[in-house]
Amino acid sequence: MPRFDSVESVLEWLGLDPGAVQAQAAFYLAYARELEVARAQRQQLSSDQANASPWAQFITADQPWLGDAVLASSYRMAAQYLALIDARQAGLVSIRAALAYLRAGLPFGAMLAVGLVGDDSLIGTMAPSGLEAAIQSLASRARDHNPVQQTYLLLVLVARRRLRREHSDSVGALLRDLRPHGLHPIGSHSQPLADYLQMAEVMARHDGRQLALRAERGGSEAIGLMSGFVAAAGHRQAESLRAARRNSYLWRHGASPVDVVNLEDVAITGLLAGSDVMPPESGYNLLFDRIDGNDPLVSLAVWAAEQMSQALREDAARSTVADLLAGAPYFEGNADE
Amino acid sequence: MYLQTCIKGIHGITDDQAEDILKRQGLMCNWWRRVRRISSAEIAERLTDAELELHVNAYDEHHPHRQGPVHQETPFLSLAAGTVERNTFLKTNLVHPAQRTALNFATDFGRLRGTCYLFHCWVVVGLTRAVPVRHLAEEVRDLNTYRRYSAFQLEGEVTAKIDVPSCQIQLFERYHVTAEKTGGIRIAHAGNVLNPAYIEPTAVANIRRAF
Repeated sequence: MPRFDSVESVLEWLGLDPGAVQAQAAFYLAYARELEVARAQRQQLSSDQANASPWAQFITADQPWLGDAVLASSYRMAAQYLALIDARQAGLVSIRAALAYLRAGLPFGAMLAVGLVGDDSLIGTMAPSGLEAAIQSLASRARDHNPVQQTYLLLVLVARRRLRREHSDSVGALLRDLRPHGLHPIGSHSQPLADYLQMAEVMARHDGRQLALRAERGGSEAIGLMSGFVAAAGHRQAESLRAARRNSYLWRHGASPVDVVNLEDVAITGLLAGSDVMPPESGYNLLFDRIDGNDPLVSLAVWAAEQMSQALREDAARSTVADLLAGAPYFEGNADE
Repeated sequence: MYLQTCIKGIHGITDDQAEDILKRQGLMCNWWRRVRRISSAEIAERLTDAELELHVNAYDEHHPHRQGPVHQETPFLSLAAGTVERNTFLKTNLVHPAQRTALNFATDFGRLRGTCYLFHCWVVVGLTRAVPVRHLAEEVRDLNTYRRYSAFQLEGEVTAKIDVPSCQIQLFERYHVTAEKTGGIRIAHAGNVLNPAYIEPTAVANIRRAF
């Protein structure tokens, strides 16, 4: 499978102007920031003043999840555009999205964070109030979540050895509970939940080190399953992108109602690439190698996941991620805030 | 039929023009604004499935049998009508508030530096497709353009026809977009203007109160 070798080649292949991509990222970040500011100021304003703010409509007592849902979605949209032009910022904004998802009670946030930054050592060193505590909380009420969110939680718990061992009871319960929901549609392309469950079962059942050894000797069935899943998702996403490009008005403004980079695919790819099923440090290469065809768009999520996770492993970014997960405020690119 | 509240984002107009839309003219389709006079016969000729399909999927392409591009010839107006439901969010991990969608258009997709406006209005939407019926807005259900999570949610776009009368526009919000030193932008709310002649949608709903 041919790979993208630069940001320029990705944008050229997509037919997107870097200025339009940058403008869309700036828009969604600015929108998220206004929401963050409105929420921070809520306590200091009278109810009349607070109600006059157009952002305040999302911070309501009767729908406490809504503010974080809009924030998470806005950061996610910004990250999807940033993934095409700035992997480090895309990674950091994805972490912001992940935190907002977690505050809204969605295991999808854990999948995003662990998929991008969560090798076992990093999860273990996070502040107690951060990612590990959030995962602990989600796992303790695993059966309360919607089946789609349960599936994301299951993938997180089985894809990292440390979490798999700590939460073996939750893993077993989720595997049993989700089986009857096998035809439940999940993801932006409405895949059967059973496809996700199959991967989770493989990761939960096998000892990672043995699988890795087998992979070094020429591959394994489990790796074939993972790479097949990623390839199928990539083909579906590429088809959506090609269709979306035909609406040139929305496409050239970067405003097409399609995920230009599908962050869900990115997070799952990150989870799989860093799982015990893959030989250490070779996960992304194996996934690239096993995607068939000549269209690099199919491997866009793998490319983005590799770029973002690499950028977040650099020392400075790693420290920022740790601060974010420990609750530090963060507004993209604005040191004054 | 049901009543749908919507938001239309616009830039490239002055405060005076925004007030004129709010209190007098209403929101007009680009075709009417361009040619200034249209007839009932011409309206009937343009309110077709094919024209709606062009409006949704080929907005900036040349119209196949008219003089200008589709966006100058269209009898339709796109309005944002986002859906925000907990159950949908749990399945899609995305919410699309109409305010954000309309602001994205109003800020020229993040490129604008200046003032833009969000007009809050309501329209009557038919439960089934009825493109020739001028006074019913259409839900956009085009799966080729709107493929993201299409199994779970509507696309959040409603298409009005010819115009949205002033009496159905409640207010406009004004926003200033400025550049930040860091390369980002700031979107600041700069007040609302209300329409004194606004008619609440409940006034035309099928509710008869006991006397």
